[in-house]
Amino acid sequence: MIHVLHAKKYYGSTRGIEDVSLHVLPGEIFGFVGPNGSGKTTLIRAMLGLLALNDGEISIFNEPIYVGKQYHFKDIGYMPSEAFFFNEMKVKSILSFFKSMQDVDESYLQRLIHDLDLDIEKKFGSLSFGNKKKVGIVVALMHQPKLLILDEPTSGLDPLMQHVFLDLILEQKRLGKTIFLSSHVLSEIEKVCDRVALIKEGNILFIRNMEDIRKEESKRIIIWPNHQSMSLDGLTYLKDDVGCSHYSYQGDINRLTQYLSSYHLMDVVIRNIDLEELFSVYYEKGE
Amino acid sequence: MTMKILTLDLKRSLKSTLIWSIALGLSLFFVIIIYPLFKDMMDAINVVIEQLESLDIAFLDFIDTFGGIPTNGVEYFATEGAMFMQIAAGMFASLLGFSIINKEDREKTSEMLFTLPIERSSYLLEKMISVFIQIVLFMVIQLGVIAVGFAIVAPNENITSLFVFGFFDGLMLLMIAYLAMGLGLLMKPGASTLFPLIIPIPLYIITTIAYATDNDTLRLVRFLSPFTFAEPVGFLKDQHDFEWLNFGIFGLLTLVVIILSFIAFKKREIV
Repeated sequence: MIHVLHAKKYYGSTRGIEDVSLHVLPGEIFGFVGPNGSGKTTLIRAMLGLLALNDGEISIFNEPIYVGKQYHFKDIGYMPSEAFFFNEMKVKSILSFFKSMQDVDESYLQRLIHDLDLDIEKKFGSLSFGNKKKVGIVVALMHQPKLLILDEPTSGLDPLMQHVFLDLILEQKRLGKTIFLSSHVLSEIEKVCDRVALIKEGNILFIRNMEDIRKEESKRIIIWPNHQSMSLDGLTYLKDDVGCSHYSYQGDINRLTQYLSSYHLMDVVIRNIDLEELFSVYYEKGE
Repeated sequence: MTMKILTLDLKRSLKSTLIWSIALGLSLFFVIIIYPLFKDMMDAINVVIEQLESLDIAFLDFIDTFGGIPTNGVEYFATEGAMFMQIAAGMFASLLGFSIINKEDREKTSEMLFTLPIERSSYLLEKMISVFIQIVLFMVIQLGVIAVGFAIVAPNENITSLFVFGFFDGLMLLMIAYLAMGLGLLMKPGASTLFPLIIPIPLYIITTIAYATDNDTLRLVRFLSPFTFAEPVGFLKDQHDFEWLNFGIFGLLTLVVIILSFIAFKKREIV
């Protein structure tokens, strides 16, 4: 569906992306993760033909992408990280304009407006950041395109609307649509993505299945009071906090509980490491 | 072409175009309305000049530099209204043309518009048609106001030449607008909206200098400005020959800028 091969983009002497290669398969939700300034938006703009690469190539639907190429946008829904529309126009006029440019099922459009609780009588300029974002979601989804490219789609949405949005894109996935989702909110990546790529300073650190990541997850152990010298195969000391010590553990859980029972502890927490902690490990390693 | 971008652009720009049109139209209307008062004054001045046999010819030349003393309503309008209209309309046209590119960049809406299934060449063409329609609307309002004004204060005045002048003035405004569009493509997205005024103001001054001097070499600079072929005093009062060379130069330049704009716009990046 999307093929990116050794994509490189510099803005003068400033790095956008250094060397990015990835392949997004039809029907999957592909998460693209990285902090601000890592090159996520640059890659997305290059994928949309809004930026010219210095090197490398990108193809979508097996067609090469270049600046100014427009015809493939009938099959793409795009949502930028910040929604900018026409401030002086009412939301319903904005939606009516974008609807006129695409092949839109009116009942689906009405459902989006309803589910996202969008007030279409207000002027766009008077909306809050979150409500502007909702307009962006409706515009991206209204024509139910084959490919959705979403740049930080949930930032600024309240938790309820984040949930509604994730349901909407899962529904599109069930209909066989492909979704490319850039985010730095790892919880949403964790919930919906099939595969995830991690980008740092313009380079891809890894691309992995979410399932594999979950399998390899280690446990996070927190014990009260502090003990820095616990020693067990698979148990690694991380850091101390006030009154407690943090460890990571990979191995048989029974062996761990048996080992911990030999200590006189006030409290203990054993939990799965979340994606954020996992990625920060990769980031620190720079692998 | 779907004309959806054209419709959107007209919808968004109509209010400001009407404000410009009505503001300038009202100014011209007031200029015309006071013509009867001015006519009496002009008659009195002409009598004085005829009686002052020793009046230095240089003084009359000096008055001619600023349009001379009008002898009818059209000549009065050429010196008192049309010259003012030229610069104000030139500013309007340059701002309008520059906004073809600059407006969407400034409002950051170009990212969404450029990801619509519409060819960039069609997008630009529809924007250019929108500017054409707005300039025609602007000129129709100006000429309408002028016609109403003369119908009130000088119903017997033959104002046909004003409509011919309006036609060429409209062409000049289109040239300025499309030159400003080309300038917009050279600028970064954050460029000031007032930047396009760099086109009409110096060019207007060039024409003014060229017509104010006796120096033949200096007069040649008039070919550098599109205000020359639509210069109102020469057009309406002195009945100069139409400056075809100047018209041709700027017609050709505008055409080249339009072609280059289509090429540049197709490759324009959103940074």
